[in-house]
Amino acid sequence: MAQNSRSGMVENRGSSYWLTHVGLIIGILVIFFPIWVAFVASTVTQPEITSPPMPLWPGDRFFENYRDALVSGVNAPVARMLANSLVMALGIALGKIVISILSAFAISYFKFPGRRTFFWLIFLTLMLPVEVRIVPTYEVVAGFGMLNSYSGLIFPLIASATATFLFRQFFMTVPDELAEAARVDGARPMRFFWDILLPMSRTNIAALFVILFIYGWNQYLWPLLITTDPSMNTIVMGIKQMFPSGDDIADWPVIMATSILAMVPPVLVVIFMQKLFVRGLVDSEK
Amino acid sequence: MATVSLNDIRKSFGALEVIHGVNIDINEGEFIVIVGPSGCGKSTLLRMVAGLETVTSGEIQINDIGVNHKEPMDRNIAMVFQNYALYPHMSVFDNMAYGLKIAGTAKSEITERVAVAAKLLQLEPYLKRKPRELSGGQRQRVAMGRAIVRKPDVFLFDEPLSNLDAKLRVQMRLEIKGLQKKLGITSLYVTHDQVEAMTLADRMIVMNEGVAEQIGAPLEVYERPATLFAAQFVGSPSMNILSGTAKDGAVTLDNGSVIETGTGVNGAVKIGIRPEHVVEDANGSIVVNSAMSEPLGANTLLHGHMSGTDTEFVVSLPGVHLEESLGGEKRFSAPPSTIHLFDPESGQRISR
Repeated sequence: MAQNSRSGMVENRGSSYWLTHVGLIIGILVIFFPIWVAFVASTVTQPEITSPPMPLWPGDRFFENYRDALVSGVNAPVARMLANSLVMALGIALGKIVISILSAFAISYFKFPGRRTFFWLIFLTLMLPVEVRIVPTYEVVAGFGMLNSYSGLIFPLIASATATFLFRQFFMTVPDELAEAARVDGARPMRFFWDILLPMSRTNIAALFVILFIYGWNQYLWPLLITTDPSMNTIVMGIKQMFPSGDDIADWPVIMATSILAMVPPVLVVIFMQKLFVRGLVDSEK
Repeated sequence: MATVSLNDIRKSFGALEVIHGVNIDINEGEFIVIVGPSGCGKSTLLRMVAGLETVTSGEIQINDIGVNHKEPMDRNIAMVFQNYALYPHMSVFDNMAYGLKIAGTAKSEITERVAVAAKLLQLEPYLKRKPRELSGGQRQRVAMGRAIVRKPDVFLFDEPLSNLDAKLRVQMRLEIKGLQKKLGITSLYVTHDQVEAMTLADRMIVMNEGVAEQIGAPLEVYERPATLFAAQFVGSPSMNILSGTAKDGAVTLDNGSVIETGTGVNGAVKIGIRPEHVVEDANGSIVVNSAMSEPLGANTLLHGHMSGTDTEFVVSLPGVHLEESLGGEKRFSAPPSTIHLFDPESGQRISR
């Protein structure tokens, strides 16, 4: 975004230019404020939070609070929950990409009976949100004995109609002659897929990875249902599990530290992948 | 080097037959151009030879071996596509080497073969570049290079020059011809441009609506077109076609003019006269109401109607003629030896 304003699409930098910036800065402050408060709360002591007024500047308990969170947490160490979330999000994102790019390849490049039917069947599943099918899915997963396991966290969410659809749309824009040229060159279908289609899709893969990683990371309802063992909790649901039930006292600094930690990986993925897919966009052509 | 033969090749899409039986035996090293208007089935025919389309009936043989059910890679052919179909993420070198890599050729030999092809096509400075960093003509050369390095039995070209500008097209046309002569590889070349066909071909196949109207050397097709379609498709501007009735070595046109033909044909005919064979003649029997002229420098195209009819007639006169000097009726004649006669029903040439 910063690059856009620097490259100066607006030549006339009058008062409206500054007004726009003031408006944007205020907007960012409003959005950023709760995150700031969470960060401040994660660096002070419990009594400081509970006694009004709330502090607005960071305290000196940063290392202690984060160490407590990572090592011991409330129900389970946060490090453990971060690892769980990472496994789940990566599993879902990579699994979805692998499965959907292969099914899109099949649907776009091979003629087989019922090809359209399969495509529309996949497309139909777009219409059903996870919540609608969550009870039967739970039943199936429980039947397979996959409760409290990574496979139970990942597999029910791994099929993706959206990604299949996106890859199919992309493959349709790849000229047929490319596939034909590869055929004349002697490439078998999977070779063509591996050598030509996959490298050409890398920008799409990067973009999808970001979206799907965050989708996987932010899963709440499903992990809440199937992980009863605190050591299998993912971080997003784990935060909720940290809230006390009954008369226990909430350990706010640790909870806030956990919240901040939960935000870091998706932010890193966005920042890192943004570079990658901007480069991809610059490099790409059909 | 290879021979290719097509035996009664037919192609149907569903119930619709689009190619109605094409026969040709192609000699080793021959350059065959398939020419015709869009939708005549010329590309489909080429793609059947390539193995990208199935053959509905008939047999394609390369070196006397039937290849109908062989994959493209097993036919030992190479194809140059209209939009080049270069792999966008690969360098020029990798584009050219890809087929060899798949075939499992040794690395040193790949490097050597690509180097030879690159030298031949003056692509040496560009081997590390990506296709998008090249101009149209250079991409075209890479596509040819990709075909050359494989040392195929047969080259297939699918309108390879139609994406280039006019000047480059002429240049590449000469390059392709020179290259083909040098390498001596049997080639099939599809184009809709009759000039390309005339200049490149050893023999050309004039296609129309899935039928090979005529197969022959370019000048043979020009001088003795087998059908009305071939007569009009080859040559620019295209041949004038008039209806008339033949009797006693002359044809009486619809407007009553009589043209000497010197043949013993009788009955209804179509008469064909090439614009460039018409000469000014104050006593000529071809009377044209001229409407427009197109001075091209070396010659002038005169567009008009046959007097008393609305049949269009085009004359190509040497030198410059200004429109003012051409107004009104003009008389022309055509030597009997340059006149073509066709059967009005079948469109077939009536031999004299």
